[in-house]
Amino acid sequence: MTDGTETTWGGTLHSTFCLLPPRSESLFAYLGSDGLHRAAARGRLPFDRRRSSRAGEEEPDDRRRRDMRHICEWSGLAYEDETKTVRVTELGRAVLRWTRAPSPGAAPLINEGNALILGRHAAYALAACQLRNPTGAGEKYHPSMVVFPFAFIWRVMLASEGRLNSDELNRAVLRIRDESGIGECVERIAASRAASDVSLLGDSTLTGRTNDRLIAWMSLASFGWVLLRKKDRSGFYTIRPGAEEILRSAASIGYAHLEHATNAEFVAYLSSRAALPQEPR
Amino acid sequence: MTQYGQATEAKIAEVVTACESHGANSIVALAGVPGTGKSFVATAAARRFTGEPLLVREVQFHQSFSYEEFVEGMRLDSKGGFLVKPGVFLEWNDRAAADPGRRYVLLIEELTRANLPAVLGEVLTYVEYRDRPFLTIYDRRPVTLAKNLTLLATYNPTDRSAIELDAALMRRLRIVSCPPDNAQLREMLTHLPGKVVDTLVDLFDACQKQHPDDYEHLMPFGHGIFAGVTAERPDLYDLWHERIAHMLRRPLVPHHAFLKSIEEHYPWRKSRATTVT
Repeated sequence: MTDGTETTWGGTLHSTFCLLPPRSESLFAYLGSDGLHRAAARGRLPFDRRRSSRAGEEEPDDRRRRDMRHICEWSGLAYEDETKTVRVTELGRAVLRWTRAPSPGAAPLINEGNALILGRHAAYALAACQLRNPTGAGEKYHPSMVVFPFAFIWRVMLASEGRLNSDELNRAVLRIRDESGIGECVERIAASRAASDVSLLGDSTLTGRTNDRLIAWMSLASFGWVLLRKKDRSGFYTIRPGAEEILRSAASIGYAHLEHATNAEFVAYLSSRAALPQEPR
Repeated sequence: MTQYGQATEAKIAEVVTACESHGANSIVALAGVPGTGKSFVATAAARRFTGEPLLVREVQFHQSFSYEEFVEGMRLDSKGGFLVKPGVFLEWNDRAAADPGRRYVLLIEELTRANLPAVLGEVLTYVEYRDRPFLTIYDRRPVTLAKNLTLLATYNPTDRSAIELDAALMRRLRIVSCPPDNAQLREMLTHLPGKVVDTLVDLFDACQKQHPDDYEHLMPFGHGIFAGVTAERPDLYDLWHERIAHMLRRPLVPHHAFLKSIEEHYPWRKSRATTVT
């Protein structure tokens, strides 16, 4: 049981999570590190010495590994166990199969036409993700916070014409403390849009590199921009064509809010919710 | 990719070949009595054929399965109105059409348990003519069956529902027979003593000797009924009393033709302590 004190959603500054081109190469290097110690996983991350801001360094900053770990933990793809070894889940292996080039120069399996096949399974897993969880970023929340962040983001978007902008996310969504807050959030967004008055959303939750932190939230909620589109010219994140039914279905699953003992247990649980087909016998 | 025994691999390969040869214009159907590994082989074959498990969509037909669930139907929307929603077939067909470089499979378990002419609708005809479009009933949009979508199915040909299949339906099937198979039985039970497996093989051989021409369809179960057996005792005793006996002797129905042969070749039915080793 976490015993933090935070009652609004925080934000991380992890690297962009992107499954469709241009892809996050660091993510695939990390997912390809199953069974390796985290130091070895860090060594596999792409690193351009010429562009490094730290003179004399031969390896990427460990923060990049931590970023990948955060992305993978919160989306059910991988975790680092008590021996600091990278363990890739079944969902993580599926993502790797779909995004890895089968041979040098060949296109990966995933493309704009079929990404939602993987996206559906990912949505079932993401819907089970809890704000309060045993990963580093999830331990700071007050026990009263019963939030499924990605399911809540989707439910707000579905009730708000299928779109959401940064102010609405920052000022309204990130304040939801439990399911009862979703309705009020939707109403505030509707009122704000009708009056074209941002102040009706409430005060900002995140400050300091706000845009980067919000993009990090949405890149996870979109599962690497498979389920949602990046901001359009009017500043709105929108639901990808064909993904609405997937998000509606995943967000409607009534997952119980669980007290996971370890991050391994939590991440393995998320992967188990993905409804991936099992090998026969 | 998991490798199975030789006989099992051969059966999987047979289904994959059928998909490659006929998947573009027929429904490839695995037919066999219960417990002949149809679902297992179909799943393994579908994965081999597509090269990726997520490109295989599974569905099980039943009496409540309708055209609206399979092809297209009307659903209530959030505002109380109606909207047209693609069924599982149309959704998968659209995915396959949008990704022509990959093979997709729609695996239909228990094919004959739904009202097939009603459920399949236009698919029945157009599975054979993939270049010809048809208009869906509700949305009136033109649809062609994707050339890279294979319909793979399983069914029990002795089930009452299968006996009613008409000629038009049969003509659209390419059937791969899945009879009880002693070689697959041996591969499945390598963890059991050889004498136990030999006794089970004798059971199937005795039945085949009794009715050599109709054995495949008369046999009440296949080798797969022993899939869950981990040890001779008490699993084989429990299996008899909790499953096999009830398949052979059913209330108000004449006893099964193979009752005597199976009872004579199943020593474990007498006591939990019985062992042949």
